[in-house]
Amino acid sequence: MTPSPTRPDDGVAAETVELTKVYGAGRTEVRAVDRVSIRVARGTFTAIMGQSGSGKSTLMHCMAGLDRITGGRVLLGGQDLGALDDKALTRIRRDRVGFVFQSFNLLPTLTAGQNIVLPLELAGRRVDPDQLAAVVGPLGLGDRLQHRPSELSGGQQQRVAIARALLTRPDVLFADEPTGALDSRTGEQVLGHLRQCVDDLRQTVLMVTHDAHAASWADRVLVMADGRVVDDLDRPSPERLLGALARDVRPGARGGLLQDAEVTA
Amino acid sequence: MISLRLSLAELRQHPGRLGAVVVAVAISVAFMVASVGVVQTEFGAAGDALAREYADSDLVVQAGVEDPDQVGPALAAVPGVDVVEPLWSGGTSLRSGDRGNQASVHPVSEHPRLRPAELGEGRWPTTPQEVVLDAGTAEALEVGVGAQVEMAPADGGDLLPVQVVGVTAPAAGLMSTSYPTVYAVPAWFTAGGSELSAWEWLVLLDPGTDPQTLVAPLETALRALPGAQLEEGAVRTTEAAAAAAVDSLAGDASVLTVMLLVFASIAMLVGALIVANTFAILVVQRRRQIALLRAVGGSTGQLRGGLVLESALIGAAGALTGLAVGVLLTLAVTWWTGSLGSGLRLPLGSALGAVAAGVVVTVLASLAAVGRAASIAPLEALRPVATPAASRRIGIVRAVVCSLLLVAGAVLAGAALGLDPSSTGLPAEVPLLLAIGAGVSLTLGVLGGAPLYVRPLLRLAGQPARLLGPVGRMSVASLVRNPQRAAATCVALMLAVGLTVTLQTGAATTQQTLLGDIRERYPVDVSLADVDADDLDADLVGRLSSVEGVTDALPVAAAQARLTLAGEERYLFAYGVDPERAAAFLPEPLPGLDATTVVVSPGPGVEPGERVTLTLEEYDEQGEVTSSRSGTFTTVLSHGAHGNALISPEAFATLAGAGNTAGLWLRVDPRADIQRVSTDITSLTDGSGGTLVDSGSLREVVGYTTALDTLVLIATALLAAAVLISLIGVGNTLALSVVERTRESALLRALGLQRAQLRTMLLLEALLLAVVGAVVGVLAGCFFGWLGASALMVVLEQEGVQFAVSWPQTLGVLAVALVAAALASVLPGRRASAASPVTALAAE
Repeated sequence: MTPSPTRPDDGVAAETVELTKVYGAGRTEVRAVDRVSIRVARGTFTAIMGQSGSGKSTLMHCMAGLDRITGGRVLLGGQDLGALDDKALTRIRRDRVGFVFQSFNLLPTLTAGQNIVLPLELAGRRVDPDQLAAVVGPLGLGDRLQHRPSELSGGQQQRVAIARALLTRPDVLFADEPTGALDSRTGEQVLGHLRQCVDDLRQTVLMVTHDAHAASWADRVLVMADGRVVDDLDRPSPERLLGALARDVRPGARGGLLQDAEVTA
Repeated sequence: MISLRLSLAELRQHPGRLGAVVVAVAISVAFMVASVGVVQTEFGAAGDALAREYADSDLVVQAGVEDPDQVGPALAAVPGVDVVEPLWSGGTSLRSGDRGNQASVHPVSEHPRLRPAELGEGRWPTTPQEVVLDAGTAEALEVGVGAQVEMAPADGGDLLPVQVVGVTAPAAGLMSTSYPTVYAVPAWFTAGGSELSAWEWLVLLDPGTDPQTLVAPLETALRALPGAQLEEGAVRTTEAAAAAAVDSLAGDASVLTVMLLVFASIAMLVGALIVANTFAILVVQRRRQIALLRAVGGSTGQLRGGLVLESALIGAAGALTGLAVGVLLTLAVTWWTGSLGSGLRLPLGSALGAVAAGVVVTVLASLAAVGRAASIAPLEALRPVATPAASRRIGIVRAVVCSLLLVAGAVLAGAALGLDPSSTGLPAEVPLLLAIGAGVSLTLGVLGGAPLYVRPLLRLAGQPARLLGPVGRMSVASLVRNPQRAAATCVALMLAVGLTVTLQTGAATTQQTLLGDIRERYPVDVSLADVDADDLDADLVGRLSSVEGVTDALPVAAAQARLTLAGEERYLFAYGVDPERAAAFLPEPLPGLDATTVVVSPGPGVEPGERVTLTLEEYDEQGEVTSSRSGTFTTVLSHGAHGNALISPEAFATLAGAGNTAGLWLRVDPRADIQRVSTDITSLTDGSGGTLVDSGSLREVVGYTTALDTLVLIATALLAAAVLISLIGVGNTLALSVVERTRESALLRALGLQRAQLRTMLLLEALLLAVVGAVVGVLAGCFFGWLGASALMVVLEQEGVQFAVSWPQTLGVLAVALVAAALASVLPGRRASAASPVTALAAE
């Protein structure tokens, strides 16, 4: 669904307020995300970076309506996800969110073309051939639509996933380690495509990665550690990002450079 | 025993995955145990019931002597003998109002230890004018204690009123013969000029005497009697006689047991298919784990040992569960029939045999999968692909072998139907044996070739599902991605449904063909003639005409007659019927019936236009001819004669005088409950007091219909176990594929597939599997049923096979398969849709 006209366009595609996610209870309790408040501006490429276990994937899952939150609020295009039941949440994922995962992005039983139009078909919407061509053309998939995922290379599979995510014109395209299973050259191409989406289509992209080089393609990088956002960098170079990461793994680095209030500011 | 530990750990970890195996094995083992248990217990109870007439006697004596009256005193004279009672047996007819019944008569001794039955209510008779009826007869006559009924005396004279003073307790057990029985005092048997004589005696001994010691003295005493003919065991202890009575049923019991075990084996065969498929899927799913085990140094021997052990443990769990269920089932069934009262009889050997069979079948069924597991290379543990694409290349060998089987089956089937045993001089059973061979060969071809055609069939059946959009398309795609697995699941269902439908269609075709033949040759439904009188009681005619289901009645002239046809003298009935009025009762009008012609049924050597002499005769009680009037007629052939001779009313009047209405034709609505109609008519004619003979077709039709219907009902009920197991297989295949597709389901949920849509997807998959399996089963079953019935008709030299399908039953099987498959998808559907997309995506 395209953004509805009644929604106030404040330039914010997604927002969290004091978002907390806790797994388990009692002694096994894990605070995966701890009171995180961030805003993702429309038409920007944001990367969330952190070591494994820093809570970056959980934060993304919560923002995308894949996982339930424990505390705080999550808004997607102005819609509070916390208030929705499973059915409505599923509809949000179908209509207003696009996903690109690290691996296992495509259904093996469907062709590339069927995979791309799947969310539209699930919504019972007609597929506009022009729109489809406009999406798959730049991704170089025009002659690959009849192939099954097993007949495609890793990079091609990832581009099919991007095409699928773009076709519904989602509020936010979430990418979870999209280059994790790819060689560096192919990974580079995929990042280029994501960048292109932002620049050419004004698509909001939120990417989770542990790779500083990948994160350097973003407009803005949030660095996470121990469930908190510890750094917020504008167009950082890879070197600067590596430095920020290195600081965060130091003992007692919790809290990092910025406080939560400053991040939201 | 590392493999044992691993097996146990595996079972503890994923008990649900093997639940289907346990259930499938348990059902077949329970079936076996219950078959043996119920049959043994029922026949044991029936034997006990047979021995009941010996009551609490000490010895039973059977002997033929010149004067049976001498036996009692001769035996009583032997020291140690207290009481000797002849065990009379006689027959009588009973009547109450317009209801009648034939019954056997049992003596009731004054001695309380010699009571032949258990009294339900009332008391035992003390005079020849008092009787006790068995519960079934009392119900049939609609009488109770205190009622008056009419009963023929021992000398066979006119019916006399007697008082019902008691009714026995209802007979227990499925096998108990509920032949109508009247209990009367011994004096009844000797009253009047009765010529009844006893050939069996019950003996009571003085207290404290060992019956065994008196066997020889009693035999000596019997031998001393004039004309004594003693067979082996003429004098037996009652214990031995009762045991012999039980043994006399053992033959029937073993036939029935074998029959039930055949059905149980079918269930087990279907179960074996499910087990084999389950293990095959499990090995694919555990591929990486198995490879890892190999990589860290597990030998193929250890691996094989562990898996075989695992299947044996599961088989044992299923078999023991089945044993428990089987015993409970036996208790429940025999309690319900009442046979449990005489003791549960379940041979330990049979029970343990069933358990062993369950374990062995499970292990054997798992061997193929075990072999495949052992061949998994250690390197596979390192490959990242979650599920390997199943081999799509289907062996050319399979195609060739199955084609050969199909061709061989077709040739055998052709031979079975084309052969004429009478002209070739072969044994009459040959066509049937050929048809069985054809059936086996074709079945193997169809089932073995399943992987070749199940995929296209699933696609075809999935066409309508595709209209449902992506959900439908994805279900079809998921099914055809693993053709071997889908084929194995369908094969189990095909086998179970196919066998059931084969039986149903075979029975329906046989019934249709035989009934068609009976109806053609005996077109009159009910054709009554009174042997003794010149007219039927008008009241009886009125009551018969108003029986519900009787649509038309025609009083006709009737008399016993003699006629020589095709060089053979026949005794039949001559009916004087108006051809115009008779036409309403016949499918075709009677051709050329006039004062000079006689209509007879066509048959070998019977020619039309022949001059024959028809003789109307009357007989006295000894069967001597008392009057005889002949006329000469020209034969006309028509099935309308229904085995009798039809002449015009004028010709009949000329021969026997006017005013004879001793016959009655009835027409019955074919849609009516013909069994009830037949019972009503029989009850009226038996109770009429006259000697009415029915030469119509209704009785025979009812007999065939009831017998075949019962047969099919029982067989369907027994095969239901196999159908049930095959449907568990459907659920199991889905459940296991859901496990495999966890990540796929999660991705779909992440992309916006609703929970309900995911459940719908699995529902569609279950339905598609069921449709393909059941439809192939129904089609094959129809063909095999027709083939078997046709071969049977060749053996019976019956022409014009009329193919018939028992639609209600066959559609019922189809509906059960679909509904059960839908139910089978519920649990896997819940499992698939309950998982949160995040955890499922993270799961490796």
